[in-house]
Order: sequence, then C-alpha cells, then structure tokens
Amino acid sequence: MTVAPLLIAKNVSKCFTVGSRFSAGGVKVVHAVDDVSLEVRPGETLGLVGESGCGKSTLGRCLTRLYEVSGGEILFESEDIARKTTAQLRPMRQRMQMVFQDPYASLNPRRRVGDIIAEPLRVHHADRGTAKIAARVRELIDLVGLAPDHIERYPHEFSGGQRQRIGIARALALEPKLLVLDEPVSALDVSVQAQIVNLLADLQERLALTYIFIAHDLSVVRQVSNRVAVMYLGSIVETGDTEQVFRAPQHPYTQALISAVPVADVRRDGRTARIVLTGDVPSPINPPSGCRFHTRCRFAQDSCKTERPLLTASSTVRAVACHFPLATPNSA
Amino acid sequence: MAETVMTGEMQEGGGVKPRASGAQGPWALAFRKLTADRAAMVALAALILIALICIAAPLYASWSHTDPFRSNLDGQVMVDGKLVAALEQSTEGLGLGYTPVGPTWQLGNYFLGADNQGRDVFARLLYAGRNSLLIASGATLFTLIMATIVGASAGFFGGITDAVISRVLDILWAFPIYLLAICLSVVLINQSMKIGPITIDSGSLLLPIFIIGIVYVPYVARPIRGQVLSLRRSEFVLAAIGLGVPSSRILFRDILPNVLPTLIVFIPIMMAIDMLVEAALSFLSIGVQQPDASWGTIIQDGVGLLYTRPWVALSGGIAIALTVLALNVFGDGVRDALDPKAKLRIGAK
Repeated sequence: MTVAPLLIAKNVSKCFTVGSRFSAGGVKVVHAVDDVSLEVRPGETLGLVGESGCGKSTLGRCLTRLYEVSGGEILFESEDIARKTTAQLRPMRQRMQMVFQDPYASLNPRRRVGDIIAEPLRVHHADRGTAKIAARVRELIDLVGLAPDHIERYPHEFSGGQRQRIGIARALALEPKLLVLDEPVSALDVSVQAQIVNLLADLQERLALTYIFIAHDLSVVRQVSNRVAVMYLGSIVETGDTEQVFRAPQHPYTQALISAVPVADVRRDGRTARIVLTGDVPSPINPPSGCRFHTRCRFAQDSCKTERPLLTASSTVRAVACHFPLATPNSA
Repeated sequence: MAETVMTGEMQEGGGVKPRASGAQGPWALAFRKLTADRAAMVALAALILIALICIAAPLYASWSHTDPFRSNLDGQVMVDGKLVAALEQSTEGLGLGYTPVGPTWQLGNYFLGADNQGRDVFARLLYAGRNSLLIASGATLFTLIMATIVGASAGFFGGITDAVISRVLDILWAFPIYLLAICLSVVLINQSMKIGPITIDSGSLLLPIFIIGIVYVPYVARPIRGQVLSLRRSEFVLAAIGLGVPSSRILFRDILPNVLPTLIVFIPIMMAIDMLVEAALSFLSIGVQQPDASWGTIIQDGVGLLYTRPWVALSGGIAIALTVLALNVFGDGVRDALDPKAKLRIGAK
C-alpha cells in the first residue's frame, strides 16, 4: 500500500466493569473489545460485521473516542488519540464523526432540525456568524436529500429514514474525513435501507469520505464495503477484501456467518449448505480459553482449547485468526 | 450503486405532510393536549378563581369594615336587623366560656360567623388562602430548584459527587416526611434562622416555606437524578460528545430541556402535597403563627367550636379539599399532556 492509512488501531481493548463490590459475585470485567488491530485506508469502506454483542459498536465508539480506551493505540492521521483528554480531542472531532444506529434516540427531541445540524458549527465555528451557519445548514439539508422547510421542524415529525438523513447531515457538518457508521440502516425498513445506503455511497464519492461501516446484515456489508473485518466475542477473526472473504472464508466462524445469509435465487447462486452453529455465544465476562470460537467450532482440536490463534496474514490482504484456516475456496 | 438519491424518499413510512402553520414543537403539542383536556381546564379555572378571590382579601376586609387580625371580643354584629354581641355568654352546659356568633350568610357581614376572638371568619379564610397558596407555591419552587441542582449534579457528574449526594438524600428520605417537618418546625419556629447572609425571623412565612420545601427535596431529586443519568447515556448526548460539544453546553442544551417536562409535571403535584403539609403544621401551631392565618390555623380555631359553630373548621377544611382536588386534577392533565409514560405518583409518607 502506497497510501498511508487514515486510521490505525493497535491492540485496542475496552473493558467494562459490571456490578459493585456489594452485589452478588462482586465486580466483574466484561472484555467487550479485546486486542483489536485494524487499518482503514483513505477513501475505502471497511465493513465491521459480527453477531449482536460481539463488540463491534463498542469498537466503533472506542475508535471515535466516545468511550475511554482500556488499552492500545489509535492512530488517526498519525496522531495517537487513545490517550487524549476531552479538550485535546476537540480539534480531532471535526475530522472524525459518527452516525448512530437508532435514529429515534440520536436526535434531541426538543430541538429543531436546524439547531441539531447547526450545533457542531456553533461549537467549532462560532466566529462564522449566524448567516453563514444557516447557509451551511441549508447546504447540508440539501446534500442529504431533505427539503429546506424541514429545518424548522422537530425530529418527531420525521420518519426513521429522514431522521437518519438528519443524523448524517449533522455528522457531515464539520466536513470530516472519516465517518463511523454504527449500524446506520439496521433500524430502518428494507426499502428505506436501500435509499440510505445509496445516499451514503453517493456522499462518499462526492466528498471523498472514508467509512467504517458497522453492521450485522451481511448482504448490506457486502454491497457497500471494500474490505471487511469479522468480529467474534470482542476480537477480529478474519479480515480481507469483501469479495474474497465472502467467496472463500478462511475462518470457520466467517464461513458459518456467510452460510446463514439468505440467497435470493437458489437456482442461480446455488444452494450452499447452511452451517448452523450450536450453542450460544460465550459470555465476554468469562471468555473461553485458547481460541474464543473453539466451543462452537466444527473443526476444533485440542490445541484450539489452549492456544489462542493470532490474527496472521495469509496473503497481502487477508488475515485470519485460526490454527486451521479453511484452505480451498470451494470447500464447503 | 451510487445512483440518484432523491428517489421517492418523501413517501417513506408515513412521512411529513406539509403544513401551513409552522413547526409543531413538543411544547406546542403538549399545550394543545392540555387545553383539550376539559377536566384539567375546569380544575385550572377553579384554581385561578380561588387564587383571585384570596388575593382580593384586603378588598373584602376594607369593604366589610373588619380587621381580621385584631381580637374583637366586645364587637357587635347586625343579625336580622338586631345588634348581637360577636361573643355571647355560652348558654349550654355549665354556661362557661363564650360562643361566637354563627354564620349570617350575608357577604360583608360575618358571612361565616366569628371565631372565638370575635374576628370575621370569612375575611380570615381569604387571608389564610393567600398564605396557604403562597407557602405551597414557595415551597414547591424551593423544592424544584434545589432538587434540580442536586439531582442534576448527581446524575451528570456521577462518581463521588453522585455517591455523596445520593447518601445525603437517602438519609433525608429515611425520615417520615411529617416527623421531619414537625422536628424542624419545633426547633426553628421560636427562633430566627440564619443561612449565610439571610436571616429568617421566627414569624416569617419563609420558615414554613423552607421547612416544607426541604423535606421534599429527595422525593424530586431522585427521579431527576435518574433521568439525567439515563439522558447522559442516550445516543443524542453521545452524538454531542462526538461532535466535541462542551459538557456545560450538553447539560443546558441537551439534558436539562429534556428534564423540564418532568419538573413541570411535579409542580401541581408538589403544590397539592405542600398545601396538606402546611395545613398539618399550622394545625399543630408550628406552621403559620397567629395572628396570621392559614387554612390549617382556621381548622384549629374551629376545633373547639366544632359542636356549636362547625362552619369555622369546615370552611378551612373545604377550602383545602377543593384546592388540593383541583391541583390534583390539573396535575393529572399536565402529566398526561407532557409525559404520558411517566409513573409519577408520590405521596406523603
């Protein structure tokens, strides 16, 4: 790669504590994100997929420093942002923004749409003056496909898709380079999902944006991302080019995940055997030893129970964390 | 993939219909809902009427030439064209003591009779209403301001601030309300109180306002703290943090405006409760002090006359009951309009 990555995460961890000293069982530590390393290159879309509760949203919030990071480094434009204070982060915030999953919870119900979108401008560019800020708000409203008369309305007057557009406009207000999209379409109807996905793709092209696209819907991820990273129980188990990963998954978990995607036309796409995982996702409070996935893996062997596989590059663009990666592309 | 964006998105899921009359904010919607609630509007009208009549007390007193604060032991009252002593030697039982004149049912002329000091009960009832309403409003205001400061600090700053505040509130909460109010009153009522530069004299109405206000702070501060706590974790606050909005701005722009409806819902409920506590304290002579009156002191005046002149105690009781009823009905309407999901129901324990 000749272009320097926009964002590099090195061994990022995030632990939460649950309970208190006085509750039954005492304090417990949840390893929501465990030793994650990844790179995001300028202009690309990195899809972050995994089951609910695997830590992908937490990772997204760590990368944007909405959460304190328990360990590791986050280099954004070669600046380590993992240890910065709130005040030091402020200039960085302008270049990295987040779009949230729930368009009903992410907009303050008591402020007008115009105020919601203008908020970042008022905080960072108060010197611009109200007229210029108002002009910029109109520009943003237009950019995300809303009408100028929506500026004076309140969030409750909008549908989910329109609210998500407002969230996107707010995130774009400061002209960021990187947008972390935390399941931006999973709360929306399927027809609206397509519109938002198209809007995001269009904006990426026009504004040269870089996306981290967090989702559990694999078909959406396959459509939008150049590369994917698959997460399981707080760790990345496989990364690579989207098409390669989808066509020839090397990690048994990825394979199971992809086999679960419904196929629209069975005759054309061929019916692949559905791999049903048994058991539940283990608790991140007490993760399994060795490979985190060994409790549900079809190919698990004794060494999987004791030794933790590291994410190792299997080619220049692929990496997989498995002792026994699936070899041939067409095995199933 | 990157084709046009504008494909029919305005039709998506029951979207926005253009409206001629500007934006309908949450406040405007709540107000419309409240004004459409007939029970609440009747209650509000009753409250305004009661307040106006009480405010007009001095007018009534000067019109009926009576001084409701001065003993009038040898006064005379015109009843059915004859002058009668305001206090007559009792004719019942052993013939000891005096019986004040009963209701004349003539406005401006001892409408509800006299009390055992020969004072016009109706004039006193109006003055008492001024005090009762003033104390209830003042105490409510005090409670809400204190509870917002305390509860919002605990919820917003968390950590040690929250721990200290919550424990103090727990301790206050552990006392039965009336017991705490009675203790405070008994201690404070006979001496002036100094809080920093402010001195409250023993006869001042500020004393019951302060006492009643302070005992209810935990009951309001707790829900406020909880709400601030959950708002602080909401996605729109996270979004504001992500945008680099300073904490103070988040508190005043994003969090407090969303707590305000709860505070407003508390106003009528707290006023009703405060009015009852005030009446109880005044009834026990540790609230409003004679010769000033409140509806509680009037009931107390009437206790000794319950068999001969029941209207003295009844008038105070009816005034309290009507006002509290109206406040509660109006409060229900306000709650339904502003915060329909809320389960706010607090009562004196």
